[in-house]
Amino acid sequence: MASIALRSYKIRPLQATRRLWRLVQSRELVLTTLISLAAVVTLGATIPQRGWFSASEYSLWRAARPLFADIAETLGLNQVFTTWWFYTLLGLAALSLATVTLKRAYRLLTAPTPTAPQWRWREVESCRNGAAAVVTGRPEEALGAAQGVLQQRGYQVEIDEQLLYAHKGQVGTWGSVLFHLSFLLLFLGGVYSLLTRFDGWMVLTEGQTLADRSRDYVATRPGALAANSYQGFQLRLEKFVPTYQGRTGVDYSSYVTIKEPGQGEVQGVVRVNHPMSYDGATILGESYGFAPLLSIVDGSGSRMFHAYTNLAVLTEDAQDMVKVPNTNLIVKVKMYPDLVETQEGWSSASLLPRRPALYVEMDDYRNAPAAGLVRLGESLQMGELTLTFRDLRYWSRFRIIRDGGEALIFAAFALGILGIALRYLFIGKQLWIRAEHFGGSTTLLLKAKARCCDALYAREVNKLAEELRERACRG
Amino acid sequence: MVEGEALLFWVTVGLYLVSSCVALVALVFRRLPWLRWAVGAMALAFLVHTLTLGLRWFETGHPPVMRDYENTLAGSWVMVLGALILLSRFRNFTPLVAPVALFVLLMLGYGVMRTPQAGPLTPPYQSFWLFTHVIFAWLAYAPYSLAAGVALMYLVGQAHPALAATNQLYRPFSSLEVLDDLSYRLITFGFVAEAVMIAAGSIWASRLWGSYWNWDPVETWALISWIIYGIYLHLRLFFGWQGSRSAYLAIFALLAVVFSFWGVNFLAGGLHIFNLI
Repeated sequence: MASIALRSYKIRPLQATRRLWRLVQSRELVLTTLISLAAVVTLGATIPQRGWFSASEYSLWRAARPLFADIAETLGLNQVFTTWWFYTLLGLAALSLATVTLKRAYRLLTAPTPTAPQWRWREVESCRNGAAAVVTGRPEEALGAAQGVLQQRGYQVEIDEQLLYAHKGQVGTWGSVLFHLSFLLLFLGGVYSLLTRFDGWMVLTEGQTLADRSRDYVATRPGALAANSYQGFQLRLEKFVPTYQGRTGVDYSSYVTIKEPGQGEVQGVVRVNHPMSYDGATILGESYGFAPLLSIVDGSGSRMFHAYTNLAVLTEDAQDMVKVPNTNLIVKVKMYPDLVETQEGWSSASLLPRRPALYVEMDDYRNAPAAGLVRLGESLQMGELTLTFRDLRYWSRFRIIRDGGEALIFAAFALGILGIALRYLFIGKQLWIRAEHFGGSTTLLLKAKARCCDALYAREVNKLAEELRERACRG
Repeated sequence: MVEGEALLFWVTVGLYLVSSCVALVALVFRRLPWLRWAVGAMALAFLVHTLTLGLRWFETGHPPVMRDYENTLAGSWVMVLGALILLSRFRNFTPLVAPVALFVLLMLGYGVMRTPQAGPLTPPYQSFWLFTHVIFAWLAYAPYSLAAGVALMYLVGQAHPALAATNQLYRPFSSLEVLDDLSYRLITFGFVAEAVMIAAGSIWASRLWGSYWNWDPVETWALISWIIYGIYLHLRLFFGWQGSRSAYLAIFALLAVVFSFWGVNFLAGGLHIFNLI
């Protein structure tokens, strides 16, 4: 009794494993994970995700529906795409896909090549697509003519006495396998990218040089395995050149020079949609602005502040604020790139720095605040402090990316599109023709089936029968 | 719009209007031979439409892919092209003119009310991958729309067999199964085109923003509609979902497409509006 109990105890885990393995390979699991993914992704696209909205925007949404927001946050629905259960679902989908696809590929590779078609006419008589053609001549001649017609249409043909078998489009079966394999490649590329990608943001003023090292980036976002992957090259912004049509920007070009110790200089241009590549790194331009050189001296002539100040705003529509370090001095700045005086006051005629000026408000909470228009080269006085607008340059923010997974991802795209095109352009079709001889003529009975769209295949079969009749008439 | 383009545009609209009116009169009053005139008017409208599109392209110096007006101008052109190809294949399918011409009128009307002013191509739009993305978007959405229409025909024909037996619209098709298969073929074409659309969009995003996928609502909804069509294909191929179940799913899937293209603009109080990308 004990040995029987022990034996049955041993069998159960094995049975469970087998059942689990069958489940993993099942199409039902594939479909379930697809539907689950669609549902989860729909949630993520409908409920505001933290990564896509600013704190203030999210707060507004939250304030309008506090209860729903509480539920969404508890369930992690406002960060769907970074939750552990989303990654688990993706992993399950990948596992399911891998087992089904690899099993299918194995079967295709190891399936015996059909050397003989299905000669049993009984089995094909039930095909929905059929036609008949009466032709002159003996069956062998008629089938020979049919073979010619079918081969012209791309069929592979075999004849055995009075039966012809033709097929085409078998490559379409491989198309499906390639398409599904591309998803695996995409998944692997995505995982590799997530772990090894490096993103770094660097802000350069014209003439400034910074290096690819930790302290020169304003922000970095390395993957788990990319924490210290710096190359150390130096990036210098030579010139930033925007081009406008009216007030619409049509081009933003950053002319840069890259230097690496022991190697020569490389010069290039970073433009929107045209990033620069250097030694596995991709350099994109993200934003730009004006950087006026502001100089503040006190009554004794000591320099309190002298730096290019990167303004976030391009025109007088908004105001920027600069806090002078180690002081209470706040400087508010409005930028006029191309100052003109109108009846309504000051405005900018264009976005190009032809006649640059700043409207400055200074306050150090000791002296009476000062405000006024300061053109390039001019100064503004506040008590003993003098602010001078000495120079104007552009700043440009660059994003430097190193991503080894990108190549895998784009290879997956190419493989997927190739596979899907094969799958749907090459539909497997099978056709049988039986020749029956009566008197001086031969009747060709056609039966055909397609792997899909059987009803649409009927037109092709009828046209084929027509062509066989015409060929017979022409002799 | 400059004067020449405006003139061509309104002539196009006028000809589509003539085509739809003639087609409607022919169908309502059973003057079926008049449908040939409706097709002729639509074909003429298509020629003028092509000139309008070409002139727009010439004026702006870029393919018409920016904002609503250009999108509706190009998208309606693709739709009419698809309809004319279908008409050349199924010569008895002339009643198709009525819904197509009407829908195109609506599209052009919507577009001209939005942003018809020509503008320079801003840097984010200066990309070969964007043009590929937009072209394949229309190559995907047009077959999806047609597939849903064919699926609707299937459902109506199944519910009213007498109508299917006598109505001109069903004459080119030997059986309802042919409609079912046609719907499936259109969806597979759209599925392939949408795959290319998503891939091209990812490459564009990679070169523009440095990241090929950001789970942005627009991207995500396009993926959702693609997954829904993928579910359709799996259900049909592996679980025998044909006929009415397949037809209902084809219509439901189109709703996802409509939302991903248009409805997503109204998410979250208008933030991340597609038109402003």
